[in-house]
Amino acid sequence: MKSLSKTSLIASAVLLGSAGLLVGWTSAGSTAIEATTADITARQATPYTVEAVHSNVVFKIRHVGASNFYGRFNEFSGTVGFDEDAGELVSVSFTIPMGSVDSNNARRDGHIKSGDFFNVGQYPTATFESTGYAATGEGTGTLTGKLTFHGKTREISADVVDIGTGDQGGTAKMGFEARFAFQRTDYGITTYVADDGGEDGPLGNTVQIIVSVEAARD
Amino acid sequence: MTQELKLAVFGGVLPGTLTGLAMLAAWILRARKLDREARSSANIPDSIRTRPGRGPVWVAPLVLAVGYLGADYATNGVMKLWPDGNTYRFPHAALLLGLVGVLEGVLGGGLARAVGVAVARAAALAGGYWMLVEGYHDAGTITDSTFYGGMGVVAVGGAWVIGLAELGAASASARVIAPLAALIGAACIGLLFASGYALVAQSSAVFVAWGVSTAMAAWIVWLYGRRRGLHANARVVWLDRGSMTVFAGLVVLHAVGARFHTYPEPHGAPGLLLIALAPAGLAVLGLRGLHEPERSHDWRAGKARIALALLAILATLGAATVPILLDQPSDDAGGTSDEYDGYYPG
Repeated sequence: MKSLSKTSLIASAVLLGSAGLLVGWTSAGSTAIEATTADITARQATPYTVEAVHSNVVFKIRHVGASNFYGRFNEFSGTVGFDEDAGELVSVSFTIPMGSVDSNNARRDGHIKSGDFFNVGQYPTATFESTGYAATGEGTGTLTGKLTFHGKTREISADVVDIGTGDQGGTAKMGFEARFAFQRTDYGITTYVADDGGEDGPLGNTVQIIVSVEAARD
Repeated sequence: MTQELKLAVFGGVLPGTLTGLAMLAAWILRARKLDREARSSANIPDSIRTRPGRGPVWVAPLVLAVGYLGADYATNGVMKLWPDGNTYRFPHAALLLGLVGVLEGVLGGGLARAVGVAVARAAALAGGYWMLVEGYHDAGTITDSTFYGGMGVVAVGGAWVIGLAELGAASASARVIAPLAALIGAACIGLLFASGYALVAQSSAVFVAWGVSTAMAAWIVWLYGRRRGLHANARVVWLDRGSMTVFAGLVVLHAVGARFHTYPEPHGAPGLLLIALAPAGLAVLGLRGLHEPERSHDWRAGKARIALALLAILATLGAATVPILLDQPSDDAGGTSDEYDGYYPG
């Protein structure tokens, strides 16, 4: 009887100890997870303002299935939330006045701004608001967000490369390049699209955007 | 199919054919009905014989509106019940004008009708203006005064233009009206130059093709009716009581579209006003009351009215082209040749 009781007590103690360890360990783990999440959300996103004079926004579209045509936007503005410690983007906000499109031909610019394409009078700006960023390597990542263009808002995902930092005259700078593509028919621009919605029509359906940003710390 | 071929076929050939066949069928049926009535009432004295009505004049505005709707859809490839962009609402505006045009064709005469029709035209134009412009007002690119003031001008002024065009169309058959309407439709190519070469969403090009083809289809129906003796008992093809509401109303609304849908400003904006006024030149045909010039005892007076109407329309359209052509953008892209000329595919 005494031995059985002792065995029971030892077994109980072992069980209780194990349970306690298990509870303690999981609590510690969740605390660690909570702490990580809290670190992320509370990560310092140093605000930077995009310098248009040192940045570029370029678009590429297929022309009659034969060549790639490039154009640019000469005006834009934005802000970047940058984690200087991690060297990662936290948030990006961008606005492009669509009337600043430049295709190196005044008549074509007028056509692009008209109701056939951008319809600038009705949709004067395009905007991007990021919703998340995931680093994929040193200075690279994937930036997701909502692109509002031609009256429609769609979720897009951009590949970010060449995140870098620098200094100009005592002003801290950061920069990156983001590339993404979308189907212009998704935004209601169907002029000169091939019947199959592909790239072999008078103008391709896929538009590729390259945004090269340099921003200065506020 | 290239864009230009699509434009020619769907913007011109098909609506023209539709218009011609529909009007021809309507007027042939009308002629046969009148023949039967004439034979059955042959013994009734002329003094108490019931005068035949104006016939199925409502067919023309209906088929004009439907033809335009199909033409625009086939060319643009977009037909939403309520499109996102205002530049795709021309078919909806045409439908509104067509509804008023059909009502004009079926309603009787009298002062109440005249007042009601004038109000309906103004309301249709105001509605069409709102359809085409409200998105720009919401976007803040047009002020309240411009938006609401423009709506008033288009509604009242446009109703006057339509009324004057209808006055002329009531004074002459399609023999005279159709070629003049085709001339106005062709001259609306000025809308293309004013709006900066937009060919698709602004629908300027399809309007030109539609305007010319449908007007000439009406003229062909008149010609057929004359050869087949339809004119003996049936009233010859007429384009009043609704047809001008659709035709002239669309001229006005296309000028509105070119004005507001062009960024930042249309080339030669004053010319757009003159294009919108051009259909009013038809009113010259009715200067001496509701007489058919070709049946007038004074043939010279009838021909004089036709010549004056032609002169008025040509002068208005000629004056419209001057500011539009003078305000075309210069090629400052560099180089000595305009590479944009090769931009259009096909």
